[in-house]
Amino acid sequence: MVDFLTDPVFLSRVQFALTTAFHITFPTLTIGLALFLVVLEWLWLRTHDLVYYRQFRFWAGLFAVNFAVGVVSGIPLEFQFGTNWGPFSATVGNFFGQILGFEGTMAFMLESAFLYIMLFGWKRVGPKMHFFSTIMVAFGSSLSAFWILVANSWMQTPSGGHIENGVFVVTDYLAAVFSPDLPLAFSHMYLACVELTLFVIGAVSGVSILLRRNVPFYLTSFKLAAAAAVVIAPLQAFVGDSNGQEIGRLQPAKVAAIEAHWDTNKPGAGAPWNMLAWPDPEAEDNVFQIQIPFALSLLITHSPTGVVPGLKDFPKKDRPPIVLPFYAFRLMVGVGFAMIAVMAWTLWAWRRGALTPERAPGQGKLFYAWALMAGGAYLAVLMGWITREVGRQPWLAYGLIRTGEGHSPLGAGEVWLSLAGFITAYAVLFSLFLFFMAKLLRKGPDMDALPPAAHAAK
Amino acid sequence: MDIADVWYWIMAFLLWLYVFTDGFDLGVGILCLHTDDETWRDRMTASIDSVWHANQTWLVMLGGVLFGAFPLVYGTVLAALYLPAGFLLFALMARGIGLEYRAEADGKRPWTKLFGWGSVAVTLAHGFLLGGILQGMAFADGRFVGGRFDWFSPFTILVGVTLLCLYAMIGAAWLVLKTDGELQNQARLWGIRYGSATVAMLVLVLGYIALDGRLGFLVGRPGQAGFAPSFILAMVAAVLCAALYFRALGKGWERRPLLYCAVMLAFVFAAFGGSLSPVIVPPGITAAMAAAPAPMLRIMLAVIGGLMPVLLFYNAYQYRVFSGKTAPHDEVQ
Repeated sequence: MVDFLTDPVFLSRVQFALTTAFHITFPTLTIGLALFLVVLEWLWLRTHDLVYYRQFRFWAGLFAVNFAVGVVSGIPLEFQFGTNWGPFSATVGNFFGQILGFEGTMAFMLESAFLYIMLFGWKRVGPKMHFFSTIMVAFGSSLSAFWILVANSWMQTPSGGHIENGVFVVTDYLAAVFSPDLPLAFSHMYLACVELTLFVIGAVSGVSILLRRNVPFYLTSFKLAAAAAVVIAPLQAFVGDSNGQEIGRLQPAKVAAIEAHWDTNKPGAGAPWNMLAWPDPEAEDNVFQIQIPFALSLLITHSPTGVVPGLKDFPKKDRPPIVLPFYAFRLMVGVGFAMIAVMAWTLWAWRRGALTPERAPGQGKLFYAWALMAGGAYLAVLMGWITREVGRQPWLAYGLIRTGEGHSPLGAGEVWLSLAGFITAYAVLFSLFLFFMAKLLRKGPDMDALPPAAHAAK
Repeated sequence: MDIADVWYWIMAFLLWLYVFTDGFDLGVGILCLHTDDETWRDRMTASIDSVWHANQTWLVMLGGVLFGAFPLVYGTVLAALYLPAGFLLFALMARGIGLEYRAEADGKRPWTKLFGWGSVAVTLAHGFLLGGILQGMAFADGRFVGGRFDWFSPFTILVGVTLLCLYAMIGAAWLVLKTDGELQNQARLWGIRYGSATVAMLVLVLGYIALDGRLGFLVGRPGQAGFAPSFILAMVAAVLCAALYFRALGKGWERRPLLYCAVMLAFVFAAFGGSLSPVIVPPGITAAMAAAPAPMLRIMLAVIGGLMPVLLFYNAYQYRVFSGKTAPHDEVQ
């Protein structure tokens, strides 16, 4: 136990995990909210119905607070590559750093420059320019997600080059950018952003309806979110499943760890799926397991007897930890299916006329389920990333650079100092965030807000 | 010119852009500590509300570009400067939190203080990092062999204080442009005070370099006393800009003080950058040694070089949308 508390590599990993986990929750929401704002402004421009203008202003306020925390917490991530993972940065920076440079140049700058026009530029620019700014903010944040996933997917499936004299030499640039993991990983994360946002919008709206605050207003946003979630939630399950198969092909050791699967199934025999298990890495077996025959082969290969390599096929030094990916993965999937169930329930209630201004405030169970699922969505995003990144161990870049090799020559004391600083700073930041979010939500939408004259005219 | 040198000067340009633009945000933060009038502070912070995000983003971009173009520098220098780099990150957070939540909060005072002292802390961190690199770093075989606290020296403290004065000088020029009435008069006074202090500090820094024979590489005379003629020329031009700055303040002009700050800073960058080139981390690591392979630099140049004009254009547009005197925050929308 004491060993890893004095291990600078472990501490740097904890620091990166902590700062990233904290950070990712904010852009996940703002990427989705930016898209929602584009839709709202489009509806406003088309219909000139004031409710959409007011919707825009309200959700833009929520966007602003989340964006602020996202920025403040995000800057340390980029610089940690240099401070804590220096040898990794020096080796792969010519490609990996360049990608992060593209993210800053193309995406983040776009977002930052147009953000203020979107939030406070109503009086300063005309309707078209304002709409353009909103689109640029959304485009910038989506593009940002794309480049970050390019970088991360490359760490999962490094391609397009090889290491020569301690430097990653790119031989096929496009293959490096579009690494095999990218298409599905990006789709999965992008949908997660949208899905989480829809459930947050639905939860905020639903709980406000229960509190009988601005019921028609929140019913509009709830229905918009629910209608979109009907499509997105099942789509995400489908993409997630495809992603699982792809990872089975690209990172077999990761899948074996996620499923606590030790022995490769013999040809003709199906691999069983461990619904629940507790692994014992020393004994190379599970202490207990509840299995469903053939299910793992079906999940990973879509054939009842498809071969799924077990952990024992990999040298001990190449095996990832098991407990964390195993349980994180199950939590994520569980939440995903619960969301689909809540969607089905919502559709049913909607069809039965429960979503009218008169009846909606009585739908306590339904709206609390949405609130629960909003929290679940955050949990699912974090669990998904834990599965993905812990499952990548013991590699920084899969099969290319081991985690220990990429670490800066730092002492445990230094890393402890910064780690303690981050914990303190993020705790303060998070309590401030909650305080201002509560304030914003209590205040609710401004139902008297009128657009400036130039925007009001048809 | 080698492609690595092209990136050396792009880095210098980005650093200049960052120091100038975030410099006036930070300067406004420092100056916020000079007044107790919360309505003044309202106007001061409101004047940078629209731009500070984008200004700070030049740092994010600078980090990314350094990472991609000079991976060796990114991977070794930041680790060697672990403590001041961490200090900068926390200071940036404090500044950002102060500024963001000041706008939302009912009680403004603690947030103003956090913004102000956060700005001071960011500036000092800049000084330790910049000074820590400029004074020379002990590398052998690509490994840092210096001490953990090398960045804390009389020279880096001098650089830090110089930056405090410089940012306050630029911040004052920004406020002259964006405010009017009594606050603008006060900004002129701040401008004269901190402008003089900046010039004095620059002289001190140069004197220190001249006396400490080991720092000759900074002024174009490695291992010798005195200054290279080209260095002197650029510095004279910088001082001339400072003189024009004072004149512009005295004449009551509103745009020119800020403009002269930018040009002065460019000359200072040219002086030191020109002396150091092709060295990127003194005393001995050159741009070519630390650079990414040439094909990668060419791709990066095509992409980022092509985008730079677009970036500069929409940043300029953003400034134009919110040009003119700043109204207090509540009236902006």
